[in-house]
Amino acid sequence: MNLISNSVIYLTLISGTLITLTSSHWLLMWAGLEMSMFAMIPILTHKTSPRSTEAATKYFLVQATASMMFMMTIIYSVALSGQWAIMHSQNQTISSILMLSLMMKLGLAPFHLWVPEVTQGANLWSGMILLTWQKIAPLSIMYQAYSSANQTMIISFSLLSILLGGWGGLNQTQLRKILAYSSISHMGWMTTVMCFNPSIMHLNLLIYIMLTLSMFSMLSINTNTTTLSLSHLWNISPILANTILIILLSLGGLPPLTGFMPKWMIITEMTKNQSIILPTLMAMMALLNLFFYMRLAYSTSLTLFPSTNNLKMKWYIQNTKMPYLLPPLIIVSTLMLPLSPMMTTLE
Amino acid sequence: MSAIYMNMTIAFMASLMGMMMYRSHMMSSLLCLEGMMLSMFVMASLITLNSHYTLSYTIPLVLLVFSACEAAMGLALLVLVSNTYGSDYVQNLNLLRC
Amino acid sequence: MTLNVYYFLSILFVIGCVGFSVKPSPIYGGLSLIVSGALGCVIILGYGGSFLGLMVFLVFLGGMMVVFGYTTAMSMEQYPESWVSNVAVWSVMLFSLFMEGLLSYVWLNYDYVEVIVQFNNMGEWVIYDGEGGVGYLSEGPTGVGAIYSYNYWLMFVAGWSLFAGILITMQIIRGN
Repeated sequence: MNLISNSVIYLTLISGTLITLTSSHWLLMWAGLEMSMFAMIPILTHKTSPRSTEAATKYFLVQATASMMFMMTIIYSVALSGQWAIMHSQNQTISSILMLSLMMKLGLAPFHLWVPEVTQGANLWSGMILLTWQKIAPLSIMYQAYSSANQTMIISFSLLSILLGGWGGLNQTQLRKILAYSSISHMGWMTTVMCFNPSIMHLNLLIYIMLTLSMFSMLSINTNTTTLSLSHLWNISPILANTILIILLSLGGLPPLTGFMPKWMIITEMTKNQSIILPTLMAMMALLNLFFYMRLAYSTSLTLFPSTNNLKMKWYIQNTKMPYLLPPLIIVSTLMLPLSPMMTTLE
Repeated sequence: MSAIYMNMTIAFMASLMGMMMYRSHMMSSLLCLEGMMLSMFVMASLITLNSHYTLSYTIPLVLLVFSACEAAMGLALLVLVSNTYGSDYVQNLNLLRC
Repeated sequence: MTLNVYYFLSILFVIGCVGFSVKPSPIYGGLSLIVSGALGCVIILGYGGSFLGLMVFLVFLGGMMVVFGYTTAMSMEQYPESWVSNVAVWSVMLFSLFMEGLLSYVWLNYDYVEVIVQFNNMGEWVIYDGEGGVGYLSEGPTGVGAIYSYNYWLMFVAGWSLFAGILITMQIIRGN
């Protein structure tokens, strides 16, 4: 890509999200969402192919429809309340439709079908931006406007997305689709806890972003996109294969790792609020996620995939890519559980 | 006045339903997007005009600017799709499903 | 309850929207979008927004429709699909027109209705109190002109996104 257009595109992507985060006016908020959506399209069509074209088109159509719905509900709330500033007491119907449009932008359960397809069509870098940076702006709007929406609707849709995010990934062999489904179910966890304690949602978003970043940057060292290419990884880099195992377990939320912290806090918060059945259901549906992470870890590092003799010497070739950010990311996304008392004071 | 608001909402809903419909050209979907924008524009300007907020006269203008951006983006994608696939039917966009 | 002629214009607007949202061939869809845009312009003009009406007429019809026509002509087929050539399009069209007619009928019978045909040519005015005494300002140009002073940040964001839009469009079309 050209340097100038590249810098303009990434500046628009970053400033769009920042405008959405910092504005208190609905129109600027919408403008920031639109800007980050515009800037995402050339990143998705970075290398033009039928797949990336299709991914960009689907992304555009879904996001444009969702932002139109968003603006229409804002215009309605202006017609009712007469002001453009963000208020916490809105009409419940309007606020619920607002939540629906944001769920469409985030890819929560009834509107989740575009997420795996778009992620599959793009390359690893674009998929990483799509699953991390693009989630921040809609979640921040949800954080500011959730209180007047219908809580039952939000919780039931989040439960549905935890279930479908686990269920959809069961049959996949493509890594990007698996990560997209895991993103759907993590979004479900975040929006569920939003109704109880929104600051835990921040923590969960932060940890999810770090885990997904480290997962994507580990996959992009050798450009692994399928389970098969990941299972040849032990010939190339045995340390990477073992690290992927740990990161996957952390993504699934197993105790000594970082990914356990948000799930632990969410379940604690819900049981404090006298809600027992909901966290039980969520934890059981997270087992589906854990199953396909385990299957991935099994074929990557727990078994040695058979290969020919000359393939076994591939570790000897020095890799020229030097991922400087990867070691701190791995440390943060695996060893942060002892810091959880400090994290709870952030609330 | 509220009758006109209601009719604008119906126009928006009709365009939204057209957008959701999975048939025919992608061009028609972009036209539906424009129709949503048009009904939103009319509604926003009517609200501004009726409530006499002089300073929010710029808001429909900004809506129009962003709709122009969106239309440009959609048309660029349309050209890209018809270059890659040969036609612009939305049913052709099925490579990534499985 | 009184209704004026703009209500009927808005019904025509809805019919135009139904016309393109049942997805006939884009050439007919563009036609009915143009009709809807013109009707929206007249409705806004009728409520005193002379500048905004001009805006929607010039920008929407002038700028956008040329591009749409060009792109439609580029991807044109030999026998375009009109509203009567497909059973699905035709039946959905008839159904939605029937629903709109029913809704208007219910709305009109909801209360005593008197139709007023009256065009408002006074415009909306703002009173200002300056040094030389009290005067009148037209509200539309004043409000839109506020984008240079009061809403300058909004103008900056909109201008930046137009600039980025051009670059992004070129980047998409150029590929690689």
